[in-house]
Amino acid sequence: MSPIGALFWKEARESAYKVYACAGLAMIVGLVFSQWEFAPADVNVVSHAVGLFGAVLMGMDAIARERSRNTLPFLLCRPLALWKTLLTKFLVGAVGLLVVLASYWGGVFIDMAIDGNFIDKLGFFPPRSLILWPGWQPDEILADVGYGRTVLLWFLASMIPYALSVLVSTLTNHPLKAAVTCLIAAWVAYVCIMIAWNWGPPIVAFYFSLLFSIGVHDHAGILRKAFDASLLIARGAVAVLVAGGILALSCRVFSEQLRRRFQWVLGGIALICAVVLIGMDHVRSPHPHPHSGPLGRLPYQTRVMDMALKDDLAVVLLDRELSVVDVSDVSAPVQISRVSGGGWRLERLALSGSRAYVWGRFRGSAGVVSFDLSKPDRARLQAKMRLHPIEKGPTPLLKRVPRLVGWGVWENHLYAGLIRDEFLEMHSFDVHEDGLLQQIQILTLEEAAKHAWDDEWAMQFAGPRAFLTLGHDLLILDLADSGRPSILSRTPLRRFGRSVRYETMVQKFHRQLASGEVPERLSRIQEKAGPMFARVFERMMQFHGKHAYAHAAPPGLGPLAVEEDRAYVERPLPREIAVVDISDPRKPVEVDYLPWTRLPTLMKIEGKSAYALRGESVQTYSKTVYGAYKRRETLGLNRRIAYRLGPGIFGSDPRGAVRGRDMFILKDDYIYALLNNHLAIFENPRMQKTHLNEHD
Amino acid sequence: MNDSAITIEGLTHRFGKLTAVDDLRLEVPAGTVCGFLGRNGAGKTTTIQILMNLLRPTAGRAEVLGLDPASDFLALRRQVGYVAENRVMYGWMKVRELVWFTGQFYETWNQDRVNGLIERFGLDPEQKVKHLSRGMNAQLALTLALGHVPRLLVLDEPASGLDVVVRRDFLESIIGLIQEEGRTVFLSSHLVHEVERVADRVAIIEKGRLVTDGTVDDVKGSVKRVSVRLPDGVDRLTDIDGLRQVKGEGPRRLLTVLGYGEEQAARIQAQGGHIEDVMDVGLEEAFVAHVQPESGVQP
Repeated sequence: MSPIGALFWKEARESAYKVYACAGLAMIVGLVFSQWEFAPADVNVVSHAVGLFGAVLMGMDAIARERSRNTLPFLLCRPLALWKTLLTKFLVGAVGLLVVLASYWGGVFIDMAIDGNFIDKLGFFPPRSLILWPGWQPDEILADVGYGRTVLLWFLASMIPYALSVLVSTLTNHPLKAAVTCLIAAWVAYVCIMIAWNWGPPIVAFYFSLLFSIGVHDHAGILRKAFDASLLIARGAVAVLVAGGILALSCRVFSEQLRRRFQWVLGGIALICAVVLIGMDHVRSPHPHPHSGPLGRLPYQTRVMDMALKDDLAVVLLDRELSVVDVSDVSAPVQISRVSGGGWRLERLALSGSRAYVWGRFRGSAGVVSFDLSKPDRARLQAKMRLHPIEKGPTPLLKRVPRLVGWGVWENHLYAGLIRDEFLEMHSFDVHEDGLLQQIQILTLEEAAKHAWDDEWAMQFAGPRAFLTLGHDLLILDLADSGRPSILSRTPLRRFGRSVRYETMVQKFHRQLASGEVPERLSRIQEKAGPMFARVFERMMQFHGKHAYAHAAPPGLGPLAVEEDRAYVERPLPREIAVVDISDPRKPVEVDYLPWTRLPTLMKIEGKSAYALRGESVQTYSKTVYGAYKRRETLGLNRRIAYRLGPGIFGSDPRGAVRGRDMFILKDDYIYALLNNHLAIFENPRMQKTHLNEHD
Repeated sequence: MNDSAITIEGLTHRFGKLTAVDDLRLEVPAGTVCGFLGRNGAGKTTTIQILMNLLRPTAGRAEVLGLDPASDFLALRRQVGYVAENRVMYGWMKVRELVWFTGQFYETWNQDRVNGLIERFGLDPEQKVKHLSRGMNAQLALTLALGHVPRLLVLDEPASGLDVVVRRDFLESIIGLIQEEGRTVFLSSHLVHEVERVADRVAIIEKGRLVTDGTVDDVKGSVKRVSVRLPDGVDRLTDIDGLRQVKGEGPRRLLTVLGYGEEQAARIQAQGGHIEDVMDVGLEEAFVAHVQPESGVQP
């Protein structure tokens, strides 16, 4: 055996008791904290603690123990390079840490494998609910990400505290001192990070989140960080810094084993690497700009629902009216006509030629209203067509409202995607000069049940194609032959391949929905709530309504956006946006993914610029050298934008009743946006002088 | 091939403001047993740690077996056996395991020799290191230091904490064994008796500086005990260089003089003293004379 092997053996023997104890404890913690009762302290949060304490326990002995029992000279006078000695010790601890994390997640996964209530089934675990929250639960995501990847992810994330722990161990003369120092250091670092994160400049928060943001449920960023080469550069800089620091400081502590000059050189190189990397990114990516106001704006005193652009006109759909605005002067948009929707509540707008087709509701039914815009200054209502009565469903939550999830025009056809009775229906209409003619129901997709509860899920139309997501698949429909529509392709967009457990969950969910049961996750909460929390539960269901069902549903692909030959699809596993090349609709190919949390607000990605809605503003982003998107400029109605949180569980948003839909459209050099019931026109920051175009 | 096993030139090491080793110069010829003597805190361990590259000197240069400890420390450690002052080893290991573990680091490991030594010392290979007595512990440490057949054996206070019997066997037999093979031994100690018994040469260090070095006889010869009869009316002698100690009452005095020679004899006689006898001293007294301060030794 080599000297390193022998040292490995020695270190492993010395650490074994510690690893066994920690792993056992971690598994119990995993089993306990994956219980429903502990939903608030979700497994990710606990994994932070397990990772930190595991790292400290594994790292604290590295050198401090040798020093505390005076065995350091015995070890150091062996003919083995110092860095090899340290590296071996580092590796043994890292393996121990891996075992501990594997045990913790083993506990969680075992628990999941026996249906989430292992300890509860044993019947000896007393606490009922602490706080109930039916919201996001990590089980499905964990199941889909898989055990190995989850462990690896957390292992990589725990490397920083572990390296810190080893470093501290080389500085102290007793493992306990090392552990305490390390915990204090971790706490101080945590406080500093939190302060910098919340109150520091955005750039600080950005880099911290890039390097330290952890959580399977968090944005997809962390998974990218763990598995994506581009972000490994950033992690590598930290690793170099920490490893360099460890070597330099340990050497100093080994009573100047190496020349001081060497330490300075090593530390300097590491620091320069980090500074250059961050500087490179900082210079090449435009700096975040605080806020910009609109060039021109037009306020409406009612809810604004939708907008479409045509030549120099913006057609704005209001709650019960249609407004035509002349935007030829972007600094002074002028409403040139406004027409009533005949008492209908108007929802979605599509323009075809000189017609505007609007989906709306009228007294318990839904249908289509058409407007004639051939004379923009004298727009008029042309026709109304009721299509669907609204029925009561089997439960209050399952109210059978046909919900429009897609609305598009191509040539002389108008297409509507409707969700009714938990089925997706595709309708097409022939468009005539004098109104509308319902043609046929062209397609019914049963699997849409999951999406029935998700307000943000939608289908998109582009030319003679319809795009939608079902489960984990991207569907492209061919509408060219309106009489015989067909599915052109159905492409799975899984990041992590198929998961049997996930499939089982989906099947179970559909089965329960089909038989009219309340999905298991919700019923489980209901059971556990008991009388004491029944009211809370009730309130929560009121608040969440059908969203509660969406939460209970196993996550699939979310909504999507289509731009020319690219489709952007929200994927919750991990939360990111898959970029799909759809130039060949029969064979879409995933070409990239973006670390993004929400798609519905994302409207466009142009080269290295991206645009999204956030709060009452349009946020512009630019791609960094790491591949992540960094905020560049905020375009809002006011200089200061208040990001309002949604209504809380016990409160309601007083403005909710009059709040319309926020959206934006990019056209030429301008961004046309509906924000807080205003039509606002902004200059596209892409057009301003930035470094961006040089790199495009 | 360099004739010196160890060469130290102007070696200085400071711990903050404390100067542990101060411009030390020393040469240890190959094939000798050199005792490195000094009081507690004289800088012996610091010097040895610098030789073993466990410390980095503030200034000066050391060469061990022709190698620079700082740059060639791996090669150096392969050729040097080192027993540290505290001799602490991994207590949880069995003797057999510790021998195996140590052996993995050396390509020149001679297991037969180690087995022979273990047998000779009566060590039980299955015993845990933490259960060994201090003597056995020292024997095991020495065994491990000899396992790779080093050209130079560096022992830092090898006999401290051992009882007389163990110490005697430990030092005499083992060091004899090594020296027979023509290897060099450099051992530090403050137990002068032990060193005198085994060493060819000694180097005496005080406050980080070399006071003297040479063969044991040279060092011993540099100090003489002089029996002097003082004339009536004179009860003290002054201005005698190297006078370290004065004993006795009445007209007879016993002087310990460092570097005794004709000059000192002339001074004594000039003050009316009659030199009755000049005696040799043991190494211990020579050591004391070397490290004792000159002042405050007035009769």
